[in-house]
Amino acid sequence: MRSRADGFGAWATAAWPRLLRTATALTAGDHHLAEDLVQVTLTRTYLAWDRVVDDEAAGRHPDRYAHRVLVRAFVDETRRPWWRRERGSATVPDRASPAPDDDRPDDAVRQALAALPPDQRAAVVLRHWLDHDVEETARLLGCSPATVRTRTFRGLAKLRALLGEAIAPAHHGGGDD
Amino acid sequence: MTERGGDLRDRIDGWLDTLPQPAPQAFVQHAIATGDRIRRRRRSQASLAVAATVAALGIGGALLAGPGTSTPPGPGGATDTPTGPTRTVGGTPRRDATVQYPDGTVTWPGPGGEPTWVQSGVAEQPATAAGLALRDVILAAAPGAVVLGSGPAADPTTDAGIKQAGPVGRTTDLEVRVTDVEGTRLGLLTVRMSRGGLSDQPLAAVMDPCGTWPSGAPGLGLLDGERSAYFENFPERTCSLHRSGGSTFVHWEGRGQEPGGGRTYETRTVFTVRADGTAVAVSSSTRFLPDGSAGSDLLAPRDWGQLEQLASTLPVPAGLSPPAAGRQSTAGSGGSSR
Repeated sequence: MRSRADGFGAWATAAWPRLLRTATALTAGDHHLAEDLVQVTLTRTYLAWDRVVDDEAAGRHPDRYAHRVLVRAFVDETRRPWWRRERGSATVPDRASPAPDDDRPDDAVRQALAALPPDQRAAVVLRHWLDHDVEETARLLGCSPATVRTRTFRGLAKLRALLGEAIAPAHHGGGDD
Repeated sequence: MTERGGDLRDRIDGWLDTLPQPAPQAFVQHAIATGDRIRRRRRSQASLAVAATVAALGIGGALLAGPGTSTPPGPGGATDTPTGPTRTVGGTPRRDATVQYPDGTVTWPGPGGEPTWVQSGVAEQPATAAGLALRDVILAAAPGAVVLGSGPAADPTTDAGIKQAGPVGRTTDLEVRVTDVEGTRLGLLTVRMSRGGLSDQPLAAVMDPCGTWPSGAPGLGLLDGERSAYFENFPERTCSLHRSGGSTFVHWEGRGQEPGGGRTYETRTVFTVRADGTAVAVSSSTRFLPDGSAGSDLLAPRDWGQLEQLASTLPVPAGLSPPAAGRQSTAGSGGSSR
């Protein structure tokens, strides 16, 4: 029992920054939600740890499973009615939320991502930040490749309008997407 | 990586690189503890299902059902598990329920037909009239409290006061920090208010960490569907249910020690649901020095009576009302009959 928890714990401690980073990008900087999503991901991965270990023996990295769970958790979250999205925190907070710093240059990309609908943002993040191909993105998001292309195209168009053309050249944004 | 979207990737990376990284240990421990709890419950349910099947087949079911019907553990391993009220009439669980509390009946969502909601971003800045009024109420209810500062522009390391009212953990919190003059936090008073309930799994039960309040109220007292406290950072914790002045209060107390043998800390939380359906949790946290003292007289109120009074009397911030866009017509479903 302990060895199971120990093995998971070692992986989870190392994977936490990567998962939180992805969740933060998907949620456009909503760190409360991002932490919630990673928490869900860790719990579900722990529940499936035996299978994850088997997958690892077969050459698949545990991050692969966790990444899929994380994206699905985000998709599920965005499909929930608004009044069910609120969550409590299981820890006594040490600090209140910092106010967003709109003047920081690096906050512009966060604001631009936040301006996208969640489905477009997820498509853009998976395709253009995590560099997944269309098919893999479609599998993760539970939609068709054509839908991924549409969402990515629209998302990039909006990002270009907000951040400038250089962020993603149009001939690439719509081409293979 | 391909060249596609390279600048976008760089800009996202650049933004993410500026963000602080919380320590993962507590989250990992949380996942393990929650996962173990879920696995135990699944095994129990599987055992119950097997027993029920056997019973249905008439093969000694009555004898075999016993092992699968074990009583779930008490909240947080509490030694004194109070008996909660019972749900008497209900709609869909966690969405709309009438709950029989010890002092009466409250229908969730709250009275007036308000939908379930928790609003983020509510702010009562210290310098506003409402903020000052709130501070005065805290001081009146807890005369031992020292609430410093009131200027929003003050140095954040020395301005204790009502630092910020707003979303913490995606609930609506009012936070009063009690610090020494050097900004070292010694105490923290956090007030959480919600009308119409909180949300569901997996991280609910924050308002009532004991899971002592009845399970009919949406999200309260439940963690992943279980009535269970989950504060693994507090190896010592107790829960109890108290009656005072015609009201019911959940008391929760937890003690722990910072990693590496650092300071010990203690948190006390009083939770209640007022007659109008407003759920209030007042949590006081104190850090202690190695010699066992707090090192200062600047403490958040810790007396149970003070905390109960705060939970009963703190005004709901003016901004704490359902978002207009989220209003739903549920007239006739609400009402308190205390």
